[in-house]
Amino acid sequence: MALCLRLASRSVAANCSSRILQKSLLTTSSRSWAIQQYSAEEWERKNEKMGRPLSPHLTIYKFQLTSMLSITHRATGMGLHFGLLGFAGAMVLLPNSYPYYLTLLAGSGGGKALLVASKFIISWPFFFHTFNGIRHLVWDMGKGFSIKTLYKSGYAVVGLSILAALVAAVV
Amino acid sequence: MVTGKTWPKPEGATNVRKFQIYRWNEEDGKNPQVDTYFVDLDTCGPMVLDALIKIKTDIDPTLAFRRSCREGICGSCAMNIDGINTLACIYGMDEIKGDVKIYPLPHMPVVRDLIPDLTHFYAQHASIMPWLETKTNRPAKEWKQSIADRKKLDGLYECVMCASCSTSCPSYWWNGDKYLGPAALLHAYRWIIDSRDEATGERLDELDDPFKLYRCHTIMNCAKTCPKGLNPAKAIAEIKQLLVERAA
Repeated sequence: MALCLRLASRSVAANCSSRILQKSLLTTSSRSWAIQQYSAEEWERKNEKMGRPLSPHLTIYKFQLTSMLSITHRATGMGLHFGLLGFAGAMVLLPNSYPYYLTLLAGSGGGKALLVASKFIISWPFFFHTFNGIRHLVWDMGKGFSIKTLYKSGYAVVGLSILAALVAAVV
Repeated sequence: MVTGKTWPKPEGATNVRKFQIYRWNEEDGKNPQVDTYFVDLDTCGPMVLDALIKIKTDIDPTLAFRRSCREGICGSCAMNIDGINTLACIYGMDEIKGDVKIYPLPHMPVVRDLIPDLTHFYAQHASIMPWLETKTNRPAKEWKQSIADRKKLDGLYECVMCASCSTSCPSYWWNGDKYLGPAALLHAYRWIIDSRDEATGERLDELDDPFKLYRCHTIMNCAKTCPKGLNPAKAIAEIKQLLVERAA
């Protein structure tokens, strides 16, 4: 039984073309065991053909700090990237200068509140992405992986980024 | 989710809990739906699996789910309970507020009701060579290992391959065909740092491609959800560090 499993594993691992596995395959007559060669594509196609549904994921999985901060990191990253590209593009393409548009915004009727809100909205993604980026770098060093620590660091990143954005917005 | 059948409440019961359970089978040609059951907690054990077995025994024998040891060691009853992946046999119903929502492990082909097709998951585990590879001649008795080296395996060998972690990982949802997932990678690390194993170089070579290991973006859902309290994210980070040190 154990030998059967070992041979099954070897034929599976054959897809990964490793030197050790090829050596092992040669030493045992795996063909005589009639083991199926496995491929991910065949598995997916088989399930599709059988009409099996895919179990729900995004619609049912709990929103947790882990996944929410991770997707926010990706979203802020995209936002900052395209925001910067957009700003640079606007600088090149729009007819007037930056101070002109800033005066336009200031005089639009929203008052101080609009300016503070705009500064907060623009600066928060930058601070969040930076602080969470540092959190990522700490993980890459191998530190801070316990659930307790990563939750603490997660809350710290959220709190500090809001604080920093508020400071940037009112200053 | 399509609302399915609401099954009758137990007669004369005072302490009743509502369960909303995902159902699907290949015979009736219907789309997946969510059935509602009511369980009398006064005549039921404390764990979610106790309730599932009670439903199957007393209310609806067609409800299908995997189970075996009922003590959190076999990994059979892994499912999505109240939004997170865990083992039904060791997850108490008192940990859940409100109605108990039970779904199969996410983003997996459903065989029936709460039973996913784990063939690919097992194949990924097999592909990381989960056995001792040696080149030296066999010793007279056992392959010796110091206590310190044995300690390195703690937090890794206890994995029961329940698939809770891998199916909680959004990266595995989107790239599960090529990304190995936290469970397989935890086991890969378990064999990489086993002092008795002599194929460390080959094991690390196998993981050195854009998908097998590096689709991990440290989302951390795996560590949060592991019902055995293990940390696949940390194991994956250690593998990444070993690959960096090797390249240096």
